Amino acid sequence: MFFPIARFVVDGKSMQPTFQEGEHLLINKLLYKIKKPQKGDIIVLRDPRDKQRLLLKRVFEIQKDKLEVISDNIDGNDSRTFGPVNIESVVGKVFFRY
Amino acid sequence: MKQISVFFRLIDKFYPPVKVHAHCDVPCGLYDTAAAKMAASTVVKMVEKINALPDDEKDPQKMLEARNSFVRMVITKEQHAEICKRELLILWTDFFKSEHLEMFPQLHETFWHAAKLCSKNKQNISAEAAEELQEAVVKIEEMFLAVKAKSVK
Repeated sequence: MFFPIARFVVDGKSMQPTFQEGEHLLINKLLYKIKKPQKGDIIVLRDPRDKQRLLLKRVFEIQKDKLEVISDNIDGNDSRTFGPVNIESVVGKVFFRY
Repeated sequence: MKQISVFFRLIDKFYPPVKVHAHCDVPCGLYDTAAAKMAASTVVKMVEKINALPDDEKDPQKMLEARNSFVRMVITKEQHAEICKRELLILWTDFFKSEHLEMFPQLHETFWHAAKLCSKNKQNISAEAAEELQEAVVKIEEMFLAVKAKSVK
């Protein structure tokens, strides 16, 4: 059964200062089925180096079918490290924190 | 909003949410030139944008905004030149090994030159220096890919 909303907890510091470790988030899994991600969106995506792992990143640049994602913390791992990611690897957009 | 938070916190107590990773650590043994390339491109872009800023603005508010943009662009240029330098040094000192000197006898000189260009781009606002840096990173990427291709065979 498909749930349009999913719950996550932040593990790590690469999205500081926007998101703190331990913060709880809700993501919308339906949105990107009807429109493309926008620059600045905070997204959950599959790690291109390990598909089982989920990452929290900000969309930095949109290419044809790829995205460049960036961490808000300058020392984070992102497209500067692993290059652009496929749009299909995006799980959803963060829309609520609690 | 508070009720929604309380509701989801309650659910989380019984069904813990999935972890979403936001780590800073680089997995050991993974190297790429993408970060250096992106940083060098940002330096080029910042120099272009700085050069495009108006220098004869009469409106005091607009002049103030242009000066604010100038400072922000210089900071971004500085930061990305530093990122580029750091990424290149990681490749130079960690990825490339002494045996690669046989393949590329000019390896040390190429990296030394590129690292110097990072500093030059911090000190100056020069389209020529920024493009030189971009070219130097491309040259390093070619060596990097050649080494990787060889190690795959």
